[in-house]
Amino acid sequence: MRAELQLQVRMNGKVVEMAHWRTVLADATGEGESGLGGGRCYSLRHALPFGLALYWAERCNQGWSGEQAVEMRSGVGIEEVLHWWLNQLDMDLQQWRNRGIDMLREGEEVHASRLQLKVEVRTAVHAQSGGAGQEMPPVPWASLMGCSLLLSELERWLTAQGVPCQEGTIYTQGWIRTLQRASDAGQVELTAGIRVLESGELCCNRCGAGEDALHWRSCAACGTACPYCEQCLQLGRVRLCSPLVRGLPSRAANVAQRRSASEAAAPDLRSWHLSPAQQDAVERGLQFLHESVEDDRRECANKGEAPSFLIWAVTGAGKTEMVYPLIEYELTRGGRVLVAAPRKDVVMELKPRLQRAFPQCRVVALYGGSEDTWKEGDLVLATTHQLLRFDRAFDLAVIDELDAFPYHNNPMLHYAASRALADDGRRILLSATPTAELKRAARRQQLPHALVYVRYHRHPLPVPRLVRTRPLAKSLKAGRHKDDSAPLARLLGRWAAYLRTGLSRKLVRSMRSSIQRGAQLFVFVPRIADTAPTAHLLRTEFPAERVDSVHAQDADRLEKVEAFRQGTIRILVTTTILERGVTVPRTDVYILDAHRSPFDATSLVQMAGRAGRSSDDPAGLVVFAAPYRNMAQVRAIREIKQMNRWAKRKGYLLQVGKEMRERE
Amino acid sequence: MNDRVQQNRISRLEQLALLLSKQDPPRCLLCQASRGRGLMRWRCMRSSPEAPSLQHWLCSNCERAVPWIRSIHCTRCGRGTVCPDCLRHPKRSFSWNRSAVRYDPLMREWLAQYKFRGRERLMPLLGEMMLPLASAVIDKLSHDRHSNRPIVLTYIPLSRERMHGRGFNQAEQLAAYLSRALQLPMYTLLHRHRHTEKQSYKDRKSRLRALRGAFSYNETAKLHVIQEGVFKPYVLIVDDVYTTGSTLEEAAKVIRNKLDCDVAGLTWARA
Repeated sequence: MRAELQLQVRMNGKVVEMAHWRTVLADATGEGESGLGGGRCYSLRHALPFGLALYWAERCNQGWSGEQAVEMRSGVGIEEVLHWWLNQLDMDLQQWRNRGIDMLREGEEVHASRLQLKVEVRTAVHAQSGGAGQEMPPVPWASLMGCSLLLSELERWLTAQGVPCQEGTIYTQGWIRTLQRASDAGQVELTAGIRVLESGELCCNRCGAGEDALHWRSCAACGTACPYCEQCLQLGRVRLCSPLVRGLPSRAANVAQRRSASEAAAPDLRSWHLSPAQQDAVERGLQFLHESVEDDRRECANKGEAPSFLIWAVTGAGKTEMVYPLIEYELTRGGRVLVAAPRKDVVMELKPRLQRAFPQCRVVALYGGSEDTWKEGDLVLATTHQLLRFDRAFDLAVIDELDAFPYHNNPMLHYAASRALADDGRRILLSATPTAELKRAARRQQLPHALVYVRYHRHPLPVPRLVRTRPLAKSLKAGRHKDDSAPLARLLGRWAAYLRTGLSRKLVRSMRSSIQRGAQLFVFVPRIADTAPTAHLLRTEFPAERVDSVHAQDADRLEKVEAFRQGTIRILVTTTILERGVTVPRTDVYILDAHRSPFDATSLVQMAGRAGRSSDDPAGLVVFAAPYRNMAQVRAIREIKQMNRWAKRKGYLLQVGKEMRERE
Repeated sequence: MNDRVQQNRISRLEQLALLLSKQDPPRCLLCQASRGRGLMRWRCMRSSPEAPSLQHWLCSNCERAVPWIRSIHCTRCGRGTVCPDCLRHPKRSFSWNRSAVRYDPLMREWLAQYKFRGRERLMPLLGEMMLPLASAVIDKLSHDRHSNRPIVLTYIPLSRERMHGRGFNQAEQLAAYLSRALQLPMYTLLHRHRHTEKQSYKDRKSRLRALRGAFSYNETAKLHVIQEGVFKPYVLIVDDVYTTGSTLEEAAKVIRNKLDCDVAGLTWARA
């Protein structure tokens, strides 16, 4: 889309006429009015790519609202100010020409200066010639609030809102004019798809990608060279000339704005049935939300991040339940809440739970292929990539598992998560295993946080046992060749039992006892390639039980996990994909090759957290099977033990034995 | 043409430089797998002589997965198998069509990335895939009896709305790539004055119906090659996918109404 710069000069509050302005301009450039043609007279192209026009508008406004403007207004040093300004202009023109966008019109006409300077510059969407001014259907812009959509997405949004909008017509005259009108009325804001930073570099406004993800191609929509962002292509193409339409809150909504913190009543915690440890953490979280914004603002201003609160809760502590009161608090204040989870299945599982908890509010779940994609909601559940569609939309963002797969080492999602937050929005981070950075910040009291040391059922976490075995690769190899060694087995007599299977006897004995006690087995292996052979090996070992394997590329992944949840699969061999989120009541966890690379302390803690989740069977068994122990295993065990110790010290643990005695 | 092709490949020296440098190895454009900086591939190691080398963009796995059309069964539409379409419509406005690859799910995915998602970086790859086919076709045409018949490239146009939405015309870009590589003139012979819905969403019948009268001849195109030439020119229409041939048929009909020429199609994929 192209946009036209409409500029007006105002001096001492009055709009300056063109003729007068030219004299001033000519004086400033050190030439008389007659010399204007030879001097600096810019005639910009009729229509510029949208992002560029917006950048210019901002720049002009900035230039005139700073120190220079004050000087202008007081009438001193107009010449110097203009000199400064024109030099800036020259630099900019040169810079964009180097990039391949020539902003000056070809065959410059004398006296046809289109650049009029104005304190307030607006970009007007370029109206193409032709196109009848047919009536456009009314659009409920208010429900677009907080979304930031490309025109192609807007088209689908309109269709979903029931506004008749034929595919492809959004780029035509009528709709562009409607947009212009909505933007004039303050219903929507048109922001640039690709932003020009102060340093002069470009960056994608939606995903924050830098210049190396932007590719310059000639563009038919704006007629010049135009970069597009390759990083966020999945959600539609962002170009320099494509505006992002952002819904603004309507005036009526502004009046009924969020009530201030003092007005909102603290939610009744008793209604949520929290354990004592959870309750302590929730109270601290509420206090964080309750604090005046100003205090945090000062602290966080230098970091450039939204104020955050970390809930560091052990696996199985009931993180979701802890978040409910916080969400309730924000909703009663009239804010909008986002819950971001790393994976689609988590979002799908969470939606009915949240809808049940907050029946009066609109809960919307966004993920790839979701039905709710274009709906408006007070409480939005989203997978990480869906966050890119929001811009300053939420007052509270609850971000689950910030250290988990898609967030980890992904600056795009961190950018999206902070962009989705309103200017005075707050973040609540949930994690069982925060990154070292977060832990450090928490320890140094830079990050407000609450620790939950104990599980919901108030039993200690199962401490992993180290079992020394041979490496998995060797076990698999031995298992594969067992038929070949039949003569050898005959030779060895009763010792041949050791040849029978690849797995170490210690491990097999332990697994057998787990099965006898009625538990299901989670067997983690480091690589996808190991899953199927290990499952085969276990099948030969436990022919009576159903053994299956699952990994990320498995087509039947969901069915198998469901079958494991139902209990039809007794032993499930898997990789780190199931290290989070899967909760099966009575499980024992075996981690084979615990020393190998994808397993680090974080994932070992998470996998160990799969055991003993229910209060019926709080003491699950966790086994780290490895040929040697390494730092990751030691650290994981140390962390689990430490949590148990702290929980005991704080008196959160259920003292089963003692209580029984007292009762007697 | 060879110069052009050579430019696109990584030269041995560049490969060596990559090998020695500490930079990240180049990544495959489509599967993002690292293409490995170690292995140098010599001419004798190439999988087959006629397939173009795409190693400038792709990893060897993706390169091997390309379903080239190596032998043609239907001489009309260039399909690798028997073609009921051409049997049903024996009379067509275009003489023939040739496609570089079969339009299988993988190719569909590649084209979707380029065309619908707008990943324009894929364009040189697709153009390169068409190049050996186009050069073979043109060699054949110029070695025919009518050897001095001019050959002209054109493409299937997009409507203005679509052009604004998408920002580029994939057929035009492919045609421009071929025209640069083979040093053939390219003209905009057609206009699409009616906005039709995406062809890829439709079934056969509505495809045929939707296109009727969608194109018009571009009167402003200055065809000096054609006007000056004594012989009937060959107009090659470039497009991305040939599905039922209805687009090509419609375009060829419009061109042949205005111009005394032979029309044929060059498409990237044959569905």
